[in-house]
Parts: sequence; structure tokens; C-alpha cells
Amino acid sequence: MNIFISNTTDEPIYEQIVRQIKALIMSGELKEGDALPSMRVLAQQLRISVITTKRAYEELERDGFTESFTGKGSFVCRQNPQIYREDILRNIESELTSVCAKAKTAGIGLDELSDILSMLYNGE
Amino acid sequence: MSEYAIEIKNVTCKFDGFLLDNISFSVPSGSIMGFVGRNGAGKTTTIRSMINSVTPDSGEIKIFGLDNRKYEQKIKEDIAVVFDEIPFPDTLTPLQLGKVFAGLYKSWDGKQYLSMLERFSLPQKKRIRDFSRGMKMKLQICTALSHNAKLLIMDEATSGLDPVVRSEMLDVFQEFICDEEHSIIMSSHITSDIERIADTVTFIDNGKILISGVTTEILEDHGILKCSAEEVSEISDEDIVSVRIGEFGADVMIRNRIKCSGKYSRFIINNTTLDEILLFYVRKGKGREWSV
Amino acid sequence: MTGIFRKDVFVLRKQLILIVLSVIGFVALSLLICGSFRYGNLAKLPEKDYADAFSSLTMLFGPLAAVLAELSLCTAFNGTISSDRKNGWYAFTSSLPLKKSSIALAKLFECVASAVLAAVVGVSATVGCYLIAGRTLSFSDILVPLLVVCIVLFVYMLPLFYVFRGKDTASFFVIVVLFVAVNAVFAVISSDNGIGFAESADKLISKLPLICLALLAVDIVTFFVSWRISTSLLRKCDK
Repeated sequence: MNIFISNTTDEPIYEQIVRQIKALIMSGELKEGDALPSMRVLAQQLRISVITTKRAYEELERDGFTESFTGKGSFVCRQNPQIYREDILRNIESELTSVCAKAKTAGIGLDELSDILSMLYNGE
Repeated sequence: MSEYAIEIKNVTCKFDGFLLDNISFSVPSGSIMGFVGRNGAGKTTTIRSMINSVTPDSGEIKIFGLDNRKYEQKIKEDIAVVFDEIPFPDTLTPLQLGKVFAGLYKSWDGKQYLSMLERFSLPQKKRIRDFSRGMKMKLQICTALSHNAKLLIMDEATSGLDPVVRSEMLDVFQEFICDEEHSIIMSSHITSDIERIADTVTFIDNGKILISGVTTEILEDHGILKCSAEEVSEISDEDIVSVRIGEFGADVMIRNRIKCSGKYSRFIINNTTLDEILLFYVRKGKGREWSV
Repeated sequence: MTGIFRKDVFVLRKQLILIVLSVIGFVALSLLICGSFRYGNLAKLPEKDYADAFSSLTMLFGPLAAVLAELSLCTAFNGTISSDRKNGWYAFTSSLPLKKSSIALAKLFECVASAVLAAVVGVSATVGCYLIAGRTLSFSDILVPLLVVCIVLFVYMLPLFYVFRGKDTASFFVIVVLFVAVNAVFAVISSDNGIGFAESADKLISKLPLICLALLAVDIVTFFVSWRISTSLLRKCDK
């Protein structure tokens, strides 16, 4: 399992961890019942604070991707693909909200915005 | 006025079990150079050879464009060396110390000394042994800057100081540099200080120079590429300094960052610090890949 | 180089004051005792021989005062060498526009200055004691404290380069050994000639000016030899 933390983006580190672990779960690399590495080991290896990894694991559990057992650690739950999709949609919605707000401050209209979206999506 | 405050060319020096191995670097006039390395890397030996305290077996050292052996006394009138431990007898007071220095330097400026003591709020009549560590360092700086020195050589001068005092000291150094004829070379472990004020930086390890250049350029030119252990083979050797293998991925220190971000665009490349650069270069000596 | 002298005086301030007071005290005491020979209780001693014997002690006070002054001053100044090394002052002097030879010279000058001061003290004490005790002062009497000063100076300058190297106990040992040796030489001379100390002293007194000049020459030679050796040791040793 690989986790890559970037220090050049604005995305908080715990969110980067959450996002990457969710992707690993959905891609099948982490299967139902697999144990996540301990918070402390992850923190030590990634050179970040245990508080950050703890926060990431708590969010994963809150979003229904993992469940934790005291004394044993966190494990991947049985996944409902629908939940993951919902999760991503929520994410997209919140990001698009800020994009729209930004566009409005510069007077950029919906058409122009849609064009940009098409260009970026297709250029991917 | 010489273009370089310090020029060290191919200096090799055996001293006390230490070896400086063909080192070369230069400090341009009017700039601050950070001199970074591990304990025992050769920083103090290099400084000693600059003031001719040890004589190199080969090579040339020029200060202000003058050979440091032929013009030793002349050069020393214009330099000041600051050490990590205050080297003055601790039963003296700053006032007495000022009188001692007046008898040591031709261009001692007593007024400047007193005004600097005041600036740092140092009591004139208190014995040095009753000073705190920060005050002792400030006193050393006062004496260093009161005889119209053109070059300040600092050997771990800011270690052991609290962040507030260190910040004050860095301000003083930057002020010193405002005059183009003034230069500073400071050896330090505190790379955040170096990143903050050094124009150029030189890394030394095991008596050899690892890298020397403009600080911002070095920081921008290096980065940490994140990939899995297997993907490391996709990175070409010429771009790699060394690789740290971890449980959850590999950290590859790369140089020529701009070229690499185009070449390896699918990987995350992180900003790095002088600490990490030193670490990866030092580890390179032991093998390309290493783990903690 | 002035700075080195200033530093030593500042550092040794308390010691120097103590030394000055002790010497003054000693000289005052000597003068009192001499006064007692002439006017005081000692003059009233029934046995004239005793009185004579005591009053011949007058000649000792000057040289003793000189030795006291010189020993204490030289020890004080030499003592700064090891503390200088410990607190990093010597390492610092490498960054000063000061030659190693100047540093060695400064220490030797301090020894010489101590000797000069001691000589002044010795001669004035001798003059004072003799005047008060009512004895006649001869030229040789003035030379005795000078003789003593020259010997002590020689002894102190000699191990100076040991002190620079850090072998403080060795230098102290050498001082003691040399003192004993000098005394032994005197003893041997007097016993060899089969005469008493007083008589051999009288013999020596006639040659005193010559001996003084010879010792002065020895001191000058020792000065330069010690200077050279100390300088090269300073250059070599790990500063």
C-alpha cells in the first residue's frame, strides 16, 4: 500500500490520506477485512503527526469505509459502492460551490464555466 | 575591493585525525554564506585554516583577495571570529572587555561598542559569568562589530540560543551586510536560519564539499518525488540524488526539478528543505537506496 | 599587545591588590623589627652578642621582601596561562591581529615587570631597614636584593614554555628543584672551602657586582631563549 503526501497543495494532509485510502479500497487493493496500518506506524513512516493520522482514520470510519476495534486497530468494512459514489459527489459539490462563488466575483457566466469544465474533463 | 571575501581553492589539510579533501568554494563580497554539515564534517577545521590556525598541506586561501598567510596580520585587523562558547575571561565586565579590545585592534571604535551594548541592553558593569547564554553571544557580537570588521566568521554562533535571541541576531547580521563591502560566513546546524538569511550555502561532509551555490536556486532545483518502490526504476539515475525507501512508498530526491516535473509529471514532487537535501546527499555516499 | 596586559591586570585585580597589601605589610613589619633593634626591646637585650646577631638579620628583610613580591607576582601572571587556555582565549587570539611571538613576549614582559617592581621593593626595604636600624649601608647591601631578584626571574622564565604547554605542575616542580639546587650550590661552595656560611658570604660579597652582572646576562639570554621556544610551542600546540 502506497500513500503519497504532497506539500505543494492546499489540501490538508489528513484529507490526502483519506482520499488515497478510499481510492485504494474502491479499487480493490484494500479488501474487506484487511487491516489498516497502525496510526503510529503510518505517522512515523510518512513523517507526520499521529494526530493527523488519527483524524484521517476517524474520518474514514465516519464515512463508513472502515471500522475500528479497540485493541485491534482499523479494518476495511464491506463496501457499498453507492456510499463511495455519494461520498465523491458530496466532495465535488462542495468544491464546485467554491468554484461558482469565485466565478461570480469575476462575473464569469455559466456558459463559460461549462466550457472550461468540458475542456478539462475531456483533456484528462 | 576584491570580488570575493573568501576564496578557498583546492585546499587539502590533515589535522588532528581530520582530513579536508581538496575543498574549494568562494564567498562573494557583500553576501552571507551558510556553511552546513554534520558534527565532525570539517566546518571548524575549514574555519581554522581560514585564520591560519592550521596550515593546509596544499591549496590556496585568499581573504579580501590577499593570501591568508602572507598578509595574515593585515587581514586579521578586518575580520572578526565569533565562537559558540564565549572565549573571554568570565570575571571581566563588558567595560573592561572594551578596554582590553582597544589595546588589541588598531581600529577599535569605543563609541560603537558602547552603543551596541546599549542596543542589546547589556549591563556594562556586570561580570560576564553572570550573563545568560544569549547575553554572552550578544556581547561577542558587540565586540565583533566594533572594530570595523569587513568579514564576520561565525562558528555555530547561534546554536543554543532561544528563537527570540536568534531572530534578533539574524537581523543584526542582515544589517551588517547592507554595506556591500561586508560579508559573513556562518557555520550552523540550524538550517532554518540559513534558509532565512544566507545568500549562498555550502554543504560539507567528511571533509568534502557536497554542493555549493545560491540557496534559493538549490532549494528550487531539488525536490522529493513520491512513488512506489517499484516505480523508482522509472527515474533515470542522473536525476536522482538518493532514494529513501519507506513502508508506504519511496521518497526520491531529484535534482533538475523543472526538467523532472515535465519528465515525471504523473508523480507528486514535493518542495524540500536544506535539512533534507543535506540528509539525502550525505546518505548518497553510502548507497543510492537507503531506509530509515 | 597592550590589550593582553590590560586583560591580565583586570583578571588578576583582586590578587594583585592582595599582593601589594601583603608586601606593604611585610615591609612595614620589617621596618618595625629594625626599629626595635635600635630603639625597642631588642636593643635592651643584656647579651650584646645576641643583639648583634639579631641586628645582622636586618640585611635579610630587603631580599625577603623582594622574593615575596616577585614570587607572588610571577605566580599570579603565570596562572593566567592555564585559565586562558581553558576558557578558549588562546583559540580566540588566533583570530586577532596578534602574532604568537607577541603573546609569548607579553607573558615574559610581565615576569620582567614583576622583577623590576620586586627589585624596587627590595632595595627600598633594605635602605629603609638599614636607616632605621642605624647600620651603615654599603653598595653590596643594595646588590643583594637585586641578586635575589635575578635568580628568581631566571627560575620563573625558564619553565615558562612548560606552562604554555599545559604542564603546570611540571613547571612548579622545576621551580622548586631549581631553588633547592641554587641553595645547594651555595652550601657546597661554603662547605667545600671549609669555611662557615658567613665567611663564604663575605668572600662572595667582594665579587657581588660581578655576580649580579653575570646573572643579569643569564636572565637576558633566558628571556630570548624562552621567548623563542614559547612562540614555537604556541604555534604547534592545539589551540
